[in-house]
Amino acid sequence: MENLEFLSSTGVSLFFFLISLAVIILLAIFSLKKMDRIRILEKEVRRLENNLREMDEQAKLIVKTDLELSRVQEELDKRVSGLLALQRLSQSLSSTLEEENLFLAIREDLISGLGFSSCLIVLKKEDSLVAPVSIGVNDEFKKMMVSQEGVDFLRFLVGKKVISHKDISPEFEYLSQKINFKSFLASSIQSKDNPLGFLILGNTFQEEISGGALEIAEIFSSQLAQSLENIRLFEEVFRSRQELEERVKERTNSLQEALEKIKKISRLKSEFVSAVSHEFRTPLTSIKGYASLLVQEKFGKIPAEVRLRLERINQQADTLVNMINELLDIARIESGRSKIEIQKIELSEMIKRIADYFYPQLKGKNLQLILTLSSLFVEADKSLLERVFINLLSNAIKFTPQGKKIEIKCEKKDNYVEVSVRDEGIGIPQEDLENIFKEFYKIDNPLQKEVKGTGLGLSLVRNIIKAHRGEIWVESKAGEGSKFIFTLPLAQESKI
Amino acid sequence: MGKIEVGVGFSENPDVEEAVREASIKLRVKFSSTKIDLCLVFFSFSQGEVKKLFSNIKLVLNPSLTVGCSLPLLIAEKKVFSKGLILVAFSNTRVIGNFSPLKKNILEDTEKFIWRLVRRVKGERRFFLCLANISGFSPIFLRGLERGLGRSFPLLGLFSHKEYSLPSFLLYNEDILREEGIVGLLFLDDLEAFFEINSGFTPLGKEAFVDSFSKDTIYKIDNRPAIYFYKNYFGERLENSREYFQRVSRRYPLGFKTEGFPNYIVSSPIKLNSDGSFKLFKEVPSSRVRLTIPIRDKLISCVEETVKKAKFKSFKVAIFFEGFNRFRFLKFFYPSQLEALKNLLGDTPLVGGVAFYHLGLLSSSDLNLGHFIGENSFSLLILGDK
Repeated sequence: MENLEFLSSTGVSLFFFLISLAVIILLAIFSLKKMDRIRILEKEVRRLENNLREMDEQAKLIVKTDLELSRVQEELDKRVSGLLALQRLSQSLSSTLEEENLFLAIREDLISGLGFSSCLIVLKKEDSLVAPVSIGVNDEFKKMMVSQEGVDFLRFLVGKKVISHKDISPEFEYLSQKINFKSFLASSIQSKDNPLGFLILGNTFQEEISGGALEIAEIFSSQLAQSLENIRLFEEVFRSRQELEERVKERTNSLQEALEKIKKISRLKSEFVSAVSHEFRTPLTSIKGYASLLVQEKFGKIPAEVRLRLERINQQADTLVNMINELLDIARIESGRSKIEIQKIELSEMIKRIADYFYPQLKGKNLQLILTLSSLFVEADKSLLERVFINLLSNAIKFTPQGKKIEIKCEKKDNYVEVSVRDEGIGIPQEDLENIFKEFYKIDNPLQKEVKGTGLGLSLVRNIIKAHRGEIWVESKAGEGSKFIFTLPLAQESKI
Repeated sequence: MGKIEVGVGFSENPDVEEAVREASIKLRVKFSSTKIDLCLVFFSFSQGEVKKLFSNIKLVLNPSLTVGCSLPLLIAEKKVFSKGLILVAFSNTRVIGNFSPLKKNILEDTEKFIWRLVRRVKGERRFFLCLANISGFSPIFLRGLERGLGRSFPLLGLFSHKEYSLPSFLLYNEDILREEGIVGLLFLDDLEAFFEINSGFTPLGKEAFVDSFSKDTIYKIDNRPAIYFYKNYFGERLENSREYFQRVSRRYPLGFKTEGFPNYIVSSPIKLNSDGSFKLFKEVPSSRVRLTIPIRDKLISCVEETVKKAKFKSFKVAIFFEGFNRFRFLKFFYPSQLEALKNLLGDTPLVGGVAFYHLGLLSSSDLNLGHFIGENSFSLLILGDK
């Protein structure tokens, strides 16, 4: 019985022991699982924390980059704004050529666009300094800058690039105390090597000056110098032009007066010549008539010596009559009193006919006359034109030595005819060429003196050609012959 | 009463008389047979020129009510300009307006001002538009508005703070130009209006928790002085240079996450205190905060997404107020934003301006989100027909 009880109690104990053991094992298993779960969760938390840290680190990196980018962007924005303002300012500066308007164009908003709050421009005017632009600058500083301090400061700035308040020399440090800026830039305004003045750009609030601001100030100061130089040049040109215009006006007036005087004198001369010639002609006709009658012995026989003298009187009277006639013709043509009867003339025919008149003289001197003629029509006074050819051909014959050639050429050029009479005569010295068509002009040459003439022939020729709207000139060299060339307008039909 | 008509005119002419003449040409045609009930005026003229401006508007358009304010920059169509005038004219609309100098107690004065307006219309009210320039604490002003109008009342406004921004001038009828106070307009018509305030700033970095704050000051973030939140990203230099702190905090404002509002409410600390705490321009919106960064493309696409939310059959006018800080980040790219806006709005007149602060309800889709004063964000109001 006791054994049974013992067995029974041992069995119960064992049972409870086993149960407890099982519970312990289960609890251990459960705890281990929980521990695992906690470990996983802890791991997850750590991972999340790491992620957040990484995210924050990334955020720091983003912020750092963005901060740098924004700094660059701000600098860039400032430069863009500055350049835009500078462009507007440059446009305003270059659009005016008046100093007053130039300084009006430098407005506060444009200076602010450049990145500055204040601007002082000081310029040299004769022996002193003036400040035509003063934006945001206190009066005390402005007064100082247009006095001796300004002169010294300008001397300091000359030859330097733009300087900032930090680069200022110790002798000018007092300026920083007088000025109401926290920072400023200064530059001389220089045209080539000539200092015109100086420029100060300041900031009332900002202490730092960027590199961009230095460049902008440099461009602004050179733009200003350029504009001031342009204004100076323009004023100079304008003044010179005004002076020139004045002088041209005065000269034109005096020339006009001189021309009027000449015209008046010429008219008086023509009238005088005309009157005198008329007066001469009557007595001359009488002299020549009486001389002829005496030579013809109508009043009785005359000794041979007397005859010789009378014949000379007769010849000189002829020369005088010719001279008077030519003088009268010149006077008539010059005064416009000569009636020019225009008709269509075929030139080659006229030239051949005139050449025929001179056949005896040509033959007498054994001269060869070459005619190179085109059939061309001009509108001219027949008798006047004949006198032109007669004068020119007779001159050529007179001054061409025996056995040489004379050539008359007639050709069409554009809408006019060019006629030339070329000889192989003694030629005309260069210094006489421009005077040859003047009245009574004679070349100082023994041969010329031998050849008789009134000294009016070429003058008459020139007047006739001019009256026909033509031109006449001579090409010649002493000893090599001469070539007289004249032009006449073509008649309508010949132009086609 | 006929259908509400809205017309817009603008001029970039710096001469007041010329600007009024140019800006009113289209309006005179549009409103040749109807009386202009209200003329909103945004301008950039100096104080001395405003009397002439007002008398010219009166002479040319003769509106029943004229209100307005000066803005540093004006927006019209696809342009931003610094000199000129914008006129927004309303006809067939029921609107009442008033002015108060708000000089003594901002909270009480603002509340009283609203009550005076509301009493005149026996509780009937639909929409409130205000232009304010005050020297007091901005959250108090906002609370004054909410006390008078209710926490979820639709409103839009421009706000200028004399301590933190350029002086702005207020125009109210024939009154002299005001430098301080509020001009309020209560619209009584059933105007279909879409409004939203958003920014487009992108959050980055880990979210932190504001542990300690009071009104507009954050003392501790993640159990450390608030400055450590910025130091984590920008280093020790922040504490020594206030200028650097201002630059950093302006560019990387704090983004606060508010329940129910999908976007982050963005605000820049305006003052760093010696204990490492900093002050916001408005009350701390929530306790979950992240750093935000302005990415130009995101700033622009945010405006596009906002306009797309306005599901109107047709638009009458879009009034867009841009925060000055946000404008600064876009700068030369600003025309791209206006281009994107105009592409979505088509022929709808788009006017507004760049202001330092603007205020309104965060979103017209969830009025319970409350009101907000923004400096890094934009506010958009579109009036149209549903």
